Amino acid sequence: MTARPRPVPDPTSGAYWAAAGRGELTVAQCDACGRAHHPPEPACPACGADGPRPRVVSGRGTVFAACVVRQAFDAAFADAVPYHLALVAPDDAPEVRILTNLLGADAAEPVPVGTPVEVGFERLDGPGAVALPQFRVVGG
Amino acid sequence: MSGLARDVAVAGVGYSTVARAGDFDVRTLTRAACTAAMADAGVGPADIDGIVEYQFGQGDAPSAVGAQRLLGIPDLAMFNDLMGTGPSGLSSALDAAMAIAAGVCETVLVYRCITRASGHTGAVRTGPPEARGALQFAAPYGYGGGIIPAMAMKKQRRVAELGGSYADYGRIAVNARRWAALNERAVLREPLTLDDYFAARPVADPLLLLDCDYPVNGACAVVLTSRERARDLRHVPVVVDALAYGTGAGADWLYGDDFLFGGTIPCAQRLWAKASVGPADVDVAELYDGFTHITISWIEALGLCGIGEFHDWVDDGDRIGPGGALPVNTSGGQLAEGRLHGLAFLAEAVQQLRGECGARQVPGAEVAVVANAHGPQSGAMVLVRD
Repeated sequence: MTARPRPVPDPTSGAYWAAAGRGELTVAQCDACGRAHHPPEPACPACGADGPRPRVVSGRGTVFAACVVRQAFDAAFADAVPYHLALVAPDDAPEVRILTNLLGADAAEPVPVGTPVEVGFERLDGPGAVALPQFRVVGG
Repeated sequence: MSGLARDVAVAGVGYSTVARAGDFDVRTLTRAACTAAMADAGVGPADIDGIVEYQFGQGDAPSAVGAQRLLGIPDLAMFNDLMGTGPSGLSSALDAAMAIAAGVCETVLVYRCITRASGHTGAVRTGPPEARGALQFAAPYGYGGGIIPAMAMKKQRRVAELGGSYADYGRIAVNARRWAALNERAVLREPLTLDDYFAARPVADPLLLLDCDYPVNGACAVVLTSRERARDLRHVPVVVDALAYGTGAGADWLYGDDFLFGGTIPCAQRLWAKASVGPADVDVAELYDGFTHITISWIEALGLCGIGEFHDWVDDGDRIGPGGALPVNTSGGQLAEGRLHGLAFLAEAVQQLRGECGARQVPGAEVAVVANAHGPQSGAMVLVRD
């Protein structure tokens, strides 16, 4: 089994991964138009303003959409199927969607839209160690 | 009179062999489709002064000048190689129509050649161990297979947000086979029931295998020219009444503002604002079906029914089937004819408006709408018989 791909921080994403390493989930906040986005970009995709900044959010949110992947597309996940993929809308940045797995949920069916979730951090150790934000169903 | 600066028409369409298996050379497939389209139009190599092609950008099909060499075309006044972030194969025809309308060239050959090797995005791959750029927020979570998980999540979200049921998606899959049974070119011609649809293997719940189109090896080509020139060629011209693109705000398959419809709604609004006809005038609709969600989106975005009304509108599916009030995807589409990546929807619309479709002909068809792709890559065209 090949290793799961690791995120490689770059100048635009570095602050996001550094915050995750501290156990904090951030969204990219535009102070010009007031909207947030994710993943972080060099400029706000809603208004084009420079300099979105990381804003720490609570890590609580709801499932915007979800599915259960039953066929691996990447050989590194051949042993992981079935697994959840979801877009989560943070409670304090509802215009944002964050792609995540949903850890600990029964893979028999997708987690329903609107289900409350909260973030945790999955530590991928070794070279290029990183903390991967991962949501799980509240109480799940 | 179209909304374009100069009237443009489709003069010819052509296909290579379309097959699931077998040995092939993409140059041979491309040449076969192009020569068929040129013969259909009644033009020779010296008449072609523009070529546009669409591909994933992996060198998976001959480039425009590569096709020029394959066909012995002396020189090109316009050429373009479009990559896989546009409105699928239709983007080549959209580009050609604009170039002709602008007076840059007169007669443009467009094609899409696709093979299972380049087009099978669901295949297992071994990605790089380091996820950079946009991949760093996707690959570590096992997001892969092109837009397959995005389409799975759109299916779940649509039913939760707008109502209806997953059977609505099945209606699109069943409809494709009903039409394909009448199309000798189609690869999958066996009838399908809703039970068959629901029994299909889940790829990414709730997305089923039969929500996804069917990869094949083949090519489709179309010749466009000025309406004036088309009137001197073999067939009655099929006129480009209007064309439009749309992306939607925040253009992205996952993160765009309108998750369910992407650019289809602004594209459709732009299209009808320019067209001489309206949604109620459409006789036949050829709407992208790389995934069933896409077809449903276009039906609603184009105003063929209201947003969220597909479930009641489609009813038992007869409305969009053979003999129905609004025939949709009369070739069987990519779900059943085979995945020629968009351009074949245009070719089918042209043949319907010329009355050449035999057992699947929509009687008296005069107005067609063609739409390709979805999300941040939406494009569409209205065609009318001259």
